[in-house]
Amino acid sequence: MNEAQLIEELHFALDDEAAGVRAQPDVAQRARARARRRRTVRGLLAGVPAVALAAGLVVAVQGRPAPHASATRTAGPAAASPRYTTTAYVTRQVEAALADADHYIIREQTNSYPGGTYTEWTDPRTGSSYATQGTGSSKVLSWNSTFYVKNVLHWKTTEADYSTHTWFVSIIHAAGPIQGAPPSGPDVPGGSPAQLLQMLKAGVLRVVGHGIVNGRHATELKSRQGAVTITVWVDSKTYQPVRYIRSFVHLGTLVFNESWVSRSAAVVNIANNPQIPAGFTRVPAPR
Amino acid sequence: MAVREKKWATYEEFVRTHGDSLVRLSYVLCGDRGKAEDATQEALTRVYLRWGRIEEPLSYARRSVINATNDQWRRSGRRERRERYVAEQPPVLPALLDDEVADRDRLVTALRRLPYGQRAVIVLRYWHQLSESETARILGNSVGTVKSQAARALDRLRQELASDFVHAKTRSTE
Repeated sequence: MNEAQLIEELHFALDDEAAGVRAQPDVAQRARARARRRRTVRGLLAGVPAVALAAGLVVAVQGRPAPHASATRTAGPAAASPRYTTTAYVTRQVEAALADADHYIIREQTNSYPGGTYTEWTDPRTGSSYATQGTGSSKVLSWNSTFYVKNVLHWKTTEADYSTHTWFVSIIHAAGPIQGAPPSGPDVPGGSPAQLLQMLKAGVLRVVGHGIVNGRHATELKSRQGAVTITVWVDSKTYQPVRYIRSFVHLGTLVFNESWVSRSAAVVNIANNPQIPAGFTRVPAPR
Repeated sequence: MAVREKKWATYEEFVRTHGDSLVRLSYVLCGDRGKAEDATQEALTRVYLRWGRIEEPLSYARRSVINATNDQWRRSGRRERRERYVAEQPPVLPALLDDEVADRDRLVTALRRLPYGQRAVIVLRYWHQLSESETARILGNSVGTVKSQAARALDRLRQELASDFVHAKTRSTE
C-alpha cells in the first residue's frame, strides 16, 4: 500500500468510524449554561478576599491529584457532569453498587402492565415485596414473600382488592424439595440485582450512550439477544439501576423505572408487613 | 439585550453547522462516544466564553476539541486505558469479517495506538484535509513539526498494519 492509498484508506476508515456520531441536539444550550455558570463562579471568586481565596485554593489542590486544577473547576459544572467511561469501568461500578443493594429497598414502577400503574417495593434482604396496581375502586394491593419448610419452597401472597373490599392470604408450595441451590436474591419485575449481575458477568451489556432518566444523569447499557433487547440505565453517579427496558420483537416493550430507597423502619415495614385497609373483609383464597 | 440575542443566534448557528463535525473529530481521536460528547461540550463552552472575540471560530473550536479530548484522555486512569487498548486489539479472526471492513477496523485501531499529537495531525491533515499550515495553526505547532509528525505517523501506521497482517495470517492458520 503506497502513501496515497494509505491516506485514501484512512479517509474512508475514519468516515466509517464516525458515521452516525452526532452532536446532542441541545449541546449549544448546555455549553452556554456551563459557560454562564463558570462565569458566575469566576465572578464570585473575584470578589473573595485574597487570603480566603488562597486558603480555598490550598484546600482544592490538596483534594485533587492534578496540580493545575483550579478552584473554578472544582466548584464549576464539570464536577456535576456525568462520567463517560468504558463498559469495563461501568461494569465494575455497577457490580459494586449491586453488592450494596441490601442497604436499600428497591422501588419499581411500570405503566406497561394492563390494569394501571404498577408499583412494587422489594426488600433485597428478605425477598419480600409489596405491590400496588390501579387506582380508586380498581386498586389492588399485594404482599408477596417466600419461605422454606423442609426444603420445600412456599409462596405466600396477601392481597387486598378495593373493588370488593375483601382480602385473602394464599400459601402455595412447590411439588417437592428444591433441587440444587436456592435462587439468590429477590425477584424484581424489571430485573433483579442478581439478574443484572449475571448479565454483567456474562459481558452481554455494552455501554451505548447516556442521557437524563428520571431527572438523573444516566448511562445506557444494552444487550441484544435474539428477539429480546434489554436496556438498563444506571445512574452515572451511584451506578444504581434507574430504568429497565425489555423490548420484544413481536410483543412490544416493557419499561420499568427503578429507584433505590434508603432503608428506614417505615419503608422496610411497607415491603414486609401486610397492612390491610380498615373495613376490608377477609375471604378464602381463590383456588 | 439585542447584542446578547445576536451573539446567541450566531453561536447557535455555528454549533448547528459544525457540532456534528466537532464531536466526530473528538470521537475518532478518543474512540469513546461519551467522552467525545463531553469533550465537545467543554470545547463549545470555551468557544462560547470567547464568542465574538475570536477571529476564526472553527479553528478555535477544533483546537479546543483536540485539547479537551486530550484532557479527557489524560484524566482517564491507566487501568482504563489498558482495558481500552486490549479492547481495541485487532479481531482474533479477521477472516470472518469482510476484508475491507477488517482492513479499516485495523487502520482505526492502529491510528488510536499513535501518540496523541501524531493522531491529531493525521486526523486534521488527511481526514479534515486541512493544509499543513492550517493544521500547524490549530495545533500550535510549526509547519515543520506537522510535516515530521505526519511522516512518522504514516510510517508507523504502515508498520502496524503489516504487523497486524502477519498476526492475522498466523492466527487464521493456527
